Amino acid sequence: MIVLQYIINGILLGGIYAVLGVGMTMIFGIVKLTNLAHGEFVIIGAYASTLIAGALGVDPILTLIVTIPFMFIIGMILQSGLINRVMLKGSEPALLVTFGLSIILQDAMLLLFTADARHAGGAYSSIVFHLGGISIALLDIILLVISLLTILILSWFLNKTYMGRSIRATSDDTQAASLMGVSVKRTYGIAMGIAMATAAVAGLCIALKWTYYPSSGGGYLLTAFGVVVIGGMGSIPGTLVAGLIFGLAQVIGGANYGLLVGYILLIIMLAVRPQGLFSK
Amino acid sequence: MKKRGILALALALILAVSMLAACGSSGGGSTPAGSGAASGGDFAGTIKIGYVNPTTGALAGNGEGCDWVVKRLTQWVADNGGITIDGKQYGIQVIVYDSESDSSKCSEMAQKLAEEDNVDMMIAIQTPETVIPVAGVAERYGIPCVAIQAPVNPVAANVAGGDKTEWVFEAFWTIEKVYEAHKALWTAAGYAPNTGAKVGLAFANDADGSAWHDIFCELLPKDGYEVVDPGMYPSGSDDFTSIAAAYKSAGIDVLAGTNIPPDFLKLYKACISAGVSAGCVTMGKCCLLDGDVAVLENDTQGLANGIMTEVWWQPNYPFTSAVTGEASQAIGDAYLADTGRNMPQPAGYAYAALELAINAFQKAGTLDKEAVRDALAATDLDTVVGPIKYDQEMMGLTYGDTVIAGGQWQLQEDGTEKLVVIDNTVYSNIDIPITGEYKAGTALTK
Repeated sequence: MIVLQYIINGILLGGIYAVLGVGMTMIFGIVKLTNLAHGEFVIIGAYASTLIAGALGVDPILTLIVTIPFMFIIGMILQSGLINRVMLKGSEPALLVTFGLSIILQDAMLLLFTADARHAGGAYSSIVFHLGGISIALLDIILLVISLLTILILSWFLNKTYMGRSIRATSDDTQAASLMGVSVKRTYGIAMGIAMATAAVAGLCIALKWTYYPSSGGGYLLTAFGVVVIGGMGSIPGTLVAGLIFGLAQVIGGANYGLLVGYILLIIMLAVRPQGLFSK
Repeated sequence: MKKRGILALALALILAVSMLAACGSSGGGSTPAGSGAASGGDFAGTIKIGYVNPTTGALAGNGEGCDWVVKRLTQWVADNGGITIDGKQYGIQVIVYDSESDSSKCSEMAQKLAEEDNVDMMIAIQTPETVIPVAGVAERYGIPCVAIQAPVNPVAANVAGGDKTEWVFEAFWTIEKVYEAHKALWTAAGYAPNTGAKVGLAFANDADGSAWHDIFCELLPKDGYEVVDPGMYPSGSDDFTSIAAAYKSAGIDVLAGTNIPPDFLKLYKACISAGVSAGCVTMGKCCLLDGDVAVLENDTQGLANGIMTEVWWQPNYPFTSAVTGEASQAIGDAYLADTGRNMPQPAGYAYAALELAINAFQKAGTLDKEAVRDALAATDLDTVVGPIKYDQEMMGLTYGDTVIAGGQWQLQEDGTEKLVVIDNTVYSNIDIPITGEYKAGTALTK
């Protein structure tokens, strides 16, 4: 029974890790950019949810109605106005720009919100179901559902819509897509917008489940990076599987060795199959 | 095209800043890294005291009240004619830097105090995470240092480590004493020594956690308790399933440890989720202060109810400052009147730290560092947190004991949590007021 409990907890944790990684993998796969500011984007999402929920007195989950479109627009503007410009000069300057963004955003959050711990609580925070020796917190189920829905909607968008197909075409062959009339820069902008929107969801999950600080982004970037590398850069289903594997590794390693086991797995993956589980 | 790009970039920046500002309006103001309190009055010179405080960050609750205390004592010196240094009257200036609760930043700020501000004394205060790096810098630079409000053991192990410290003088309780305080609380909850009660340990593998862990593991079996030790964990771990499972399978009666609020929240919720039903929870660090308990209550109302912790100071403690003549209660009342909040335990120690510093300069009558150090070493002072005398030594660190009692967070009718002192047996010779009785039940026994 205890093994089953570990597996369930690993899956529940893995859902959050998957949604953490999915925004980063999109940017990896489509824009071919390592976005070092992804962790800070997630923490901005967490602050936005916590503070809006506190100010309006609504459930933090409802804040997604505001934070997702808002983050999407910010992402689009950021890509179109800043990153697209430096990408003309090669991928290294763009990488450095995201690194700079990460530092600027972290310091801006420190200045605005102070370094105090934050946490968003919901009415369901303390509800736990006990089923035949297995305990599952309602919050964890809600967060898993939110994470899975985010990934499913994203997959549907990429596979079934015209815009999604043009994004995938750009990802596969930028030149060919461009020749077919796809605006590459606009596609990149939308991809960054989507990545930011997923960061808003990941931020909400973190705010509800854990406490966070302006400096927490670095740790979550590392987790997202691990998920992306294990799953395969650019693969959405890969991110989901990798999130679950990473979550299980954390639970199996326990609080004592969870981080260690997770990163050992990452190194093994880099050595044995650097393209990840699901990459072509 | 270029103009449009620049416009878009500017728009992005404005939007990003405006979003952050909009969110920040309800999130509290900014805190600059450094702030100072000038001495006021007309003096021949100024004594500079360096003070690194966790004003923001995970330990911000411990740092609360620093500015208030600094202002009050600086003003007291100014109003009382200053301190006589080499025959002339000097005011004091306390230079406060925010550590952001980061140990590296503590060292950086302490170095800045030593090299750029040329302080005459350093105050190392607020948990081992701050005290160890700041005291370490003071010892290296040869600056007299009042170290306070961090358990003696980790400071002794990390600052002295067997070599005699020359400049650092520590005052607080030892972990052996806090163990006694927790033991008294377990007894109050019905888990007395030699009853075979099982104590589950919860310690992160940082300086503080390691020191507590080693001593608890050594003393618990001697008192007839069964130790359930799932091992220490890195602070910041995401998943506590294995720890909670270990507690549950062992059937612990008592959950004991010391953790920062984020770790404790994860651990405690994992325990609740796993159905751990310990009848008694004693937890250091994260459950000392109103602000930190509010993080738990923000998750679920009543989450902190019934948790017990060590209490080192409250305004109703029966002490009066020999330096300023102010009684503990009067200071607490003034704090409440000025800030609208109860004076937190660490703020009482911040007051005591400045008392010790002022007393040392009064006794030395000079700014010569060795003379000030000798005056500090000879301290025998009634402070607002009780009598302090540096008459003991651990691993080369000179220290003095301060008092400790036991308290419990109890949910009030208005929905707030209040820390009630329920045990004063560790220092039975001092009349620490009992403010309530033990009440059974925690979030684990619902």
